Amino acid sequence: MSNTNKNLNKAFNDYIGSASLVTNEDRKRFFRRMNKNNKKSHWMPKVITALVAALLITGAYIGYQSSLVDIVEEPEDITIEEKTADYPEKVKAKIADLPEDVQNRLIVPTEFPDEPKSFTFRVDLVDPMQEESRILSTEFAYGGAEVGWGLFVTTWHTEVIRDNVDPTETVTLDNGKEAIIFGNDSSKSIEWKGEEGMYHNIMLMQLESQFTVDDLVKIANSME
Amino acid sequence: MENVILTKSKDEIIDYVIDQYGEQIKRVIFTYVKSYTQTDDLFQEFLINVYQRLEQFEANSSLKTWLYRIAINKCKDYLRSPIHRLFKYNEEVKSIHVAKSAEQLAMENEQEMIIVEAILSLPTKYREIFVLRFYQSFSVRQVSDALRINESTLKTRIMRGKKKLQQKLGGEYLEQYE
Repeated sequence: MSNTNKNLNKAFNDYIGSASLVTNEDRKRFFRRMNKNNKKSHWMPKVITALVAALLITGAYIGYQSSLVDIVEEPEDITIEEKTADYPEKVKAKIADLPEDVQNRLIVPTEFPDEPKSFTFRVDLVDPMQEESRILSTEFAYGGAEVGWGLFVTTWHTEVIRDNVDPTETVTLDNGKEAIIFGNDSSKSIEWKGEEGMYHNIMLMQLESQFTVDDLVKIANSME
Repeated sequence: MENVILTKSKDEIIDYVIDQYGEQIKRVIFTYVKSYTQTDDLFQEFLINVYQRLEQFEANSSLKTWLYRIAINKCKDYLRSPIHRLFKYNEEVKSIHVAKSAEQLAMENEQEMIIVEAILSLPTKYREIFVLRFYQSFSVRQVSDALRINESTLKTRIMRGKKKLQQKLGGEYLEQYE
């Protein structure tokens, strides 16, 4: 390494801190967690599976009995499975893994700035270190750098503390909900409270294209 | 040669990863998240991910690049996550800047420190390249492998990144570095 490079390397180290970032605590913390996982007893999942199976059988029986009595069909809401029928299998599999109440809260846009080139879906837990943790949020991401825009549709499934935002305007969506708009030159967001007080947020990032607030509202109104 | 370690138990491999690469990987994680607390948490997630994915590692690839790729992806996932957008973890970053007086900065190699600060203030896609290239001394090929971008895209980003630094610093400071 040349002297100039060494100086830059040293400056990075000075900036981040000369003390070692890796401590024994890192090792202990990791092995504690792995040991905890290995020691987990395995009878609980079996009991849960048996209970779920019993509930399903009972439910199916009750459903069958009711269908004999009540032949009037009520229109059903479109499920998230139907809404995302054209999405990649990987995304659909992740959605199918979610609890039913979380699935029921998911909404997706049908309008996009342009034909999306990529679809991804992520789930964030309240405590990412605990597999059994409650779900904090879900996010559909569309677009990709190659199309010059990115659209992030986030639903929070638990109460969150919002950062202070400075809305540029407030709009009323077609569903009657009040939504706030905020952002800057590179990204714009629209946010509103959905059913059960959960938040929905759409962020439109513009890498090369320029979008207006109207584009954002149009996307929000297309959510189903 | 190094890949011989992969014949050991998973626990031994993790020990090796922490000893050989832990420090540098944690420092790279810090350049993404700029928070010691978050660096600790992401480092744990990185280790868990390595532990879980060891079977997927292809023995003929570079272990170092594979590890960096996992760490970088963890950081990017975090930066994209709503948690990051919701909660601010910037207290410690602020304290670094507050803790360093003007005198201290002058005593340190000032020019390099200014460059480092400018690099760390760049958007992630340029910052990560400079961090790997100039801090971790990765070759262009290694950067390209770690970030999963092709070399021509990488070179374009280096060029654009340098231009952005030039605008920030008012000179071609990075030209002297290889």
